[in-house]
Amino acid sequence: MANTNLPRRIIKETQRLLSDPAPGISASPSEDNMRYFNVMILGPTQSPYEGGVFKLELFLPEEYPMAAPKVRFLTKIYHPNIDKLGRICLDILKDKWSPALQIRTVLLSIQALLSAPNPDDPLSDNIAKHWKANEAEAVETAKEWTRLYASGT
Amino acid sequence: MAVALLISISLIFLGVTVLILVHICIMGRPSSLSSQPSERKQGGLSPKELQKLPCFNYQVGEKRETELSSDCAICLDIFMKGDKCRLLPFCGHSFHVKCVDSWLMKVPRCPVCRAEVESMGLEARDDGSGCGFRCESSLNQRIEVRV
Repeated sequence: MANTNLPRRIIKETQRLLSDPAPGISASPSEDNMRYFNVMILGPTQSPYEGGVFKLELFLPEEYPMAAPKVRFLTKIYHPNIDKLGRICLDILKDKWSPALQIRTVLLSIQALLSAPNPDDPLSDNIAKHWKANEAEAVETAKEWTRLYASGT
Repeated sequence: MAVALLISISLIFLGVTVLILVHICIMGRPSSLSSQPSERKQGGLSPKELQKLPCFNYQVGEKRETELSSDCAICLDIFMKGDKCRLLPFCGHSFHVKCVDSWLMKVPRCPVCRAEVESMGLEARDDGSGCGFRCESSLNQRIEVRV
């Protein structure tokens, strides 16, 4: 099935992710499709997402690593660079992808994006407008959404 | 009368010639300019351009084995003795030929540092030393510098 002829690179990355996970990040492949990963990212400290556990899905397309992985938030999140479908606006997932990047580096970048929202390059216009007009209030909404939708288990 | 007619005919002829020359100048230049860069920028490098990039067979030296980063950043495999590798001339990063070529055909940038891999700068070394064994010595020098 999808697991036959899995490139060595994917096997290596998977082994390293499982044996030496990055802090605050867990990624494990699905049993029936080794290209599909269930991901969890802990909200970074000192961000509005602190205390939250965010679920994501990550899929390695056939062309990987010559094409970027497809990543999407499954947990609802109030962030100017993430839309309501969970799609993420991050350059390395699009035109800045490079085959020297890995699943680990992609997830670390997403974790960093949670610490540093960028309303000047929005994916969600309303949230970005809110962020620019009244950052303190937007941060409060983000904290509330974290409590409501990302409070673990 | 005949002289005036002759002069006006020759003036018309001269004017048309000048117009044709101007047209050739204007139309000729952009097409010759645009054909090369657009071919390269649309995608990555062509197989011909890839051939011009330096290539070498990986050698395992006593010192180098421990001191040089010995993984290919694309397949994550360790470089083995005799592996066919490619050295990107402007940044000095190396990868397996088969790994980096499939990327450079899509995007002409180094996977590690994003330095542009231009074929223009490589024209000068179009001496057949592309993918062979002749670059080995020059690579050894580079490796020494990097270590």
